[in-house]
Amino acid sequence: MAYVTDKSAGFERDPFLHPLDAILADIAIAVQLPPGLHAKACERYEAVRAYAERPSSPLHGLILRFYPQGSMAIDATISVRGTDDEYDLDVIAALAVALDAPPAEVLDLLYEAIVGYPTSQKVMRQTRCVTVRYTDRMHLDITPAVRLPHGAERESIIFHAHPDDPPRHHLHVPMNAYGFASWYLERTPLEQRFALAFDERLRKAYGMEVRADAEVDEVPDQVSLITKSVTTVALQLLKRFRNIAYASSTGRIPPSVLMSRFAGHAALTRLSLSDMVIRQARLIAGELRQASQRRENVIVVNPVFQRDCFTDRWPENLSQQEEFAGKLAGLADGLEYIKRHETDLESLRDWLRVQFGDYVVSGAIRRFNQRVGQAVQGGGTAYTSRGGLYVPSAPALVGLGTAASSRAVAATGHTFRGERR
Amino acid sequence: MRASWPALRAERIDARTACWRGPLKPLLQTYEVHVVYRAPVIIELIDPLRQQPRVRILSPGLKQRRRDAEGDLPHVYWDDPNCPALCLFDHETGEWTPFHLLADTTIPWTIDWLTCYEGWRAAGEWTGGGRHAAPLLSQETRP
Repeated sequence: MAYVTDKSAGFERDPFLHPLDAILADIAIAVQLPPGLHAKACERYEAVRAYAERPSSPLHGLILRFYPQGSMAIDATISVRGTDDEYDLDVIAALAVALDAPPAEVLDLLYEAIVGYPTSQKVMRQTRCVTVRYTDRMHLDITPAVRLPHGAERESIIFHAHPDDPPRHHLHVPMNAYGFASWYLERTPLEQRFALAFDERLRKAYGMEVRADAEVDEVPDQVSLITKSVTTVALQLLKRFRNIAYASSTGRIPPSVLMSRFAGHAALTRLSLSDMVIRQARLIAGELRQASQRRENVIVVNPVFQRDCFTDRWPENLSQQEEFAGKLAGLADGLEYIKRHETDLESLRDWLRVQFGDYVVSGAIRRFNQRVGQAVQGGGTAYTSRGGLYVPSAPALVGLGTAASSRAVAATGHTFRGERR
Repeated sequence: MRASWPALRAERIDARTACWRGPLKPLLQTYEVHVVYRAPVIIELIDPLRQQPRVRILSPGLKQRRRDAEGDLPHVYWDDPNCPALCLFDHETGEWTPFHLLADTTIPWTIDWLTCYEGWRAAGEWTGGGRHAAPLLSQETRP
């Protein structure tokens, strides 16, 4: 795997030196797909594909491939809106059917091919996909697509047909999810220090610790590293923020693919997690506000396939885009305020709960507190010249030194005493 | 002390007593701390409980939590109910002696205490470990 390694300053800064970055990472860990579930999702969609291809299926011989799309393709999946532990995984079912087939027919065909698949919950036919639900709170959304004959790789048409709408409202919609994912991944390099430090914390959160002094190539193959870029983790936090901000909304919400597009444009090395969240939030808010100033709904398209419009269903009006712009600006303003002013952990917790949800933030603060406490007891803390404390990310995994701002004072074990009143 | 914690200002009180005062910022909040230490005349006769460096948090005021399992405020000496002294080490196990530099012990341990205090306030649990001593008479602990 290719990493970008920043050694321009002679050392690599610990990505979780600043407590806000450490806590944001804990929040991101709480909302994303647990380790192992991505592989499980891939196994599941292959199993669904095999079932849909069976000899008695109406799609027998017509399925070209299944492949991940959306958040799953860029490894940015988080829990579904309104939940803390349900996950939507999006898959394209590339079919060999007529390009101009009526949308409702294609969706019904896919539904007939999959209905009866042995899960304990009902398979559902939606407007653009068929959903398979599992008891462990994973949902697979399978979108049928037909490849355009003369287009770039996997430029396709998907089918839009709400079951309650008349056929004249049904649509063929251009799409190239594969191309977009490739574009995004190319633009968002992995920074080694962050990727490994985040992986270490993610594994500890799920009780899957790698030995602190393990070299990278000693990590067992079956415990493959979960490597994410700062850009993707920041995107996940913004998506979570969106989910909380629109938790009680009944209509459409800003789509994840729009946010991913801006994340790809915002990608930059050597930014902290909090700074990347601020950067992405301000970029999206700025674009939305500029469109509003022109009295237009923002138009955001797939950078590799202009006909694939990411904003075909949201925003529906200027008020919706201004509302989201305002919320994002508020998040960015709040994070910047925290970084520049004084606040204690209790007040930070209260503010973060509003942004990212009570349950998740409380859990993140608890984990932060546990990690710090264990380090204090075990002499595993590091200090800065201004009296700051942090728990260093496992340097042995990367073979790099700690931040130059940490002090030469070594942590020594001690036992708090005192009177209990 | 100056080399490790440049923000702490030293003041000599008398031949055996010094104090330091200044800011420490363990997480996102700066605390004004006050440390005073009176060196013993005869080191062999030191009572670590009563002759240890005294650390008090001058601002912002520490927030108590009534009827918490750790007490109203964890791991302090209530010699001054308005500004208790922090209890940073076990005086019965030799964790600190006059041969230890305050810059290597008292100050980082104060940072540890403040960090754990913030975690205790935010998460409801003191995770820094420790144990409690019997109450002391206040006049015996005031430096």
